[in-house]
Amino acid sequence: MSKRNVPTRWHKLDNTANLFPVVTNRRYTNVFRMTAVLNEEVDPVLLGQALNEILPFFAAFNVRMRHGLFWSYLETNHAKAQVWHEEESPCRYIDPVETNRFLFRVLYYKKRIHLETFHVLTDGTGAMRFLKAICYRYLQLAHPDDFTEEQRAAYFGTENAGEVQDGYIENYVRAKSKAFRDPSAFHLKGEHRLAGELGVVTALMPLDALKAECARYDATIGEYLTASIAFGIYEEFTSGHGSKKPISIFVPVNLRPIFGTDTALNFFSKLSIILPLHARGFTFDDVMRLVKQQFDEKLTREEFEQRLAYTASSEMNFFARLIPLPLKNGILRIVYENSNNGSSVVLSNLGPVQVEEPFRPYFEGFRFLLSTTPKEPLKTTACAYNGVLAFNFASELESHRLERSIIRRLTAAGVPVTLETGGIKDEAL
Amino acid sequence: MKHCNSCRIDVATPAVCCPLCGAPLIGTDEPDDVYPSGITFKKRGFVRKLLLLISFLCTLICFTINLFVTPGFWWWTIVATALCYAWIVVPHAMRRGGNSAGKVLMQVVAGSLLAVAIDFETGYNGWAVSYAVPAFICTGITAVVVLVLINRTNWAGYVLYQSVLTLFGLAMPILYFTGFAQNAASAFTPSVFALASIAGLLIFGDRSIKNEFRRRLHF
Repeated sequence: MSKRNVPTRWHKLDNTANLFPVVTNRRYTNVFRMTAVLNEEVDPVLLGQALNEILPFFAAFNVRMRHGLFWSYLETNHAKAQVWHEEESPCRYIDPVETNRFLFRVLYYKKRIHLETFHVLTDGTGAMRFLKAICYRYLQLAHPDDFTEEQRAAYFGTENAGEVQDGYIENYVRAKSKAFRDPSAFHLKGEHRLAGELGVVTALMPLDALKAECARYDATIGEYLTASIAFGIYEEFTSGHGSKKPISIFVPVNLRPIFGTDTALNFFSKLSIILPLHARGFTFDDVMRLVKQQFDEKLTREEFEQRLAYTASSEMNFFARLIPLPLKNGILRIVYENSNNGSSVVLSNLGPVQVEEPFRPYFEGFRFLLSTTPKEPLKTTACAYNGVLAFNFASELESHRLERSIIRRLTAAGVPVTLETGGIKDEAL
Repeated sequence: MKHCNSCRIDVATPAVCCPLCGAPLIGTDEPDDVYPSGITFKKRGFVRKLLLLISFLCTLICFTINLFVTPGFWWWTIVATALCYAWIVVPHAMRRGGNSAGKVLMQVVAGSLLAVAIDFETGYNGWAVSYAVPAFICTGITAVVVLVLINRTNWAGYVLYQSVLTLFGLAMPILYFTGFAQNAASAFTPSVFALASIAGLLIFGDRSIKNEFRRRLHF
């Protein structure tokens, strides 16, 4: 498909995406990174070719942002996308002027292909589909002899890539709207790195061993990781004394399977695991019990319908829609500053990454990183591939106390952990 | 792979000490790095910071001289206004990749505000609203039309700003009828420019212009 023949299409920003352009700058980048680790060095020329062949299929990515009188919107970008050799810190601010107006960036470094996405485009699920499609095409180009004629001709991973409906508005039920205000949470404090630096720690562990450890508590992996983060904060950041404010873990939830809407745009909500650890003497088992209880209570369609109705209701309001964009942005900014206190740490669990059968031998694994903010200086993610879970920590704090506490708990329980680190000062003395 | 005995972990990236606890690692194997090392950070905006300091010092010096030499007339506010204007307008105009028509609109708005502010600071005579603002709007409308003529293919990108300037032009007679502007001829001239601009838009504007309006004005 030649880019010139693509008509200019446009779609509105989805309900959550409206917030991101307003609160994003070099400090709050709202960029997340997905990484595919291949078994071979990446060829940049073929990667660039693969990217530009795949891009027209992905309506959510092949866009540039423009601003109207009332709302911003995304319009087909007819420019050519570029790939870069990775030279700077992960999840850096995406300046549209540098990227030919695209709101994502594809980087490569040795065996790794990184996709950095501005959250306005889509969420983790949408970005992972795009990254996989680029990798599939890249592998087809790099190993033409390994695939059959039929396999070479197909563009794998491009199903539903053109679906750009707003799941939030589509599944809106007015009557269910209920105000949500999470209590102000305990925030991690400590010496920060220089602005723009992000320390990365990835703990790789075999899924079998981790599952065996989870089974001891009758917990899922998500519940276990949430509890170990919460207990790590309790031990390391409150010195086991507890804190007045609750320790809250923000767990993003993919709404696509819950509502059956398969969109390429953002469609996630959150689960706030709020743990009132106010006193001394809580054990890991206590925290685990609280976490499991809240997962059971809050992980229901009913709960998400109410949350969704609450966030969508402001966009559905006729008078709110008529406010000119600059004024609307000002209001959003104030609302955001007043409401962004609700979580201590983020845990985004992408689950197992599925790869199309013919391409499986070429992948070693996947990584996933989130950008941090001053109030949430540490964010964690998890994704699994081929029986190995990658538990990633992106942190702007100098110390690795929380990571150490969590990883030592795992190794003490008999889960073997291999560490990958990046960012400044981790390798040297 | 190297190993940390106190954390009981393997480290798969180059390291001398354990990234978690700082204890020396055991093993001699030198693995490959997975992130580039030696990342340097560009110091951003030194010139801008220096200019900001100079602007602040200028204002401070003018204020001090004003206070002791000519206490009857507060001319330092004119300096302050001009510097504020420069700080708003110059970075906007210099911004890489901005929409040219948007920059023109910004110049018209900021220039008009500057004129009105200076008019107030020199004892209100009404020259700003009567002459300066209409002149800015006429120039703005003309500038955008020139932009469209030079770069026809990007007309859709300019059309929203062209419309806003046209609306400003059409609104100028209101200032005359409400008594803010004294001169009828200069209040109506921008309207003539605006009508000419609209005529061009209606006659030459095609489907792409219509679609652009639909996108830009959706609510």
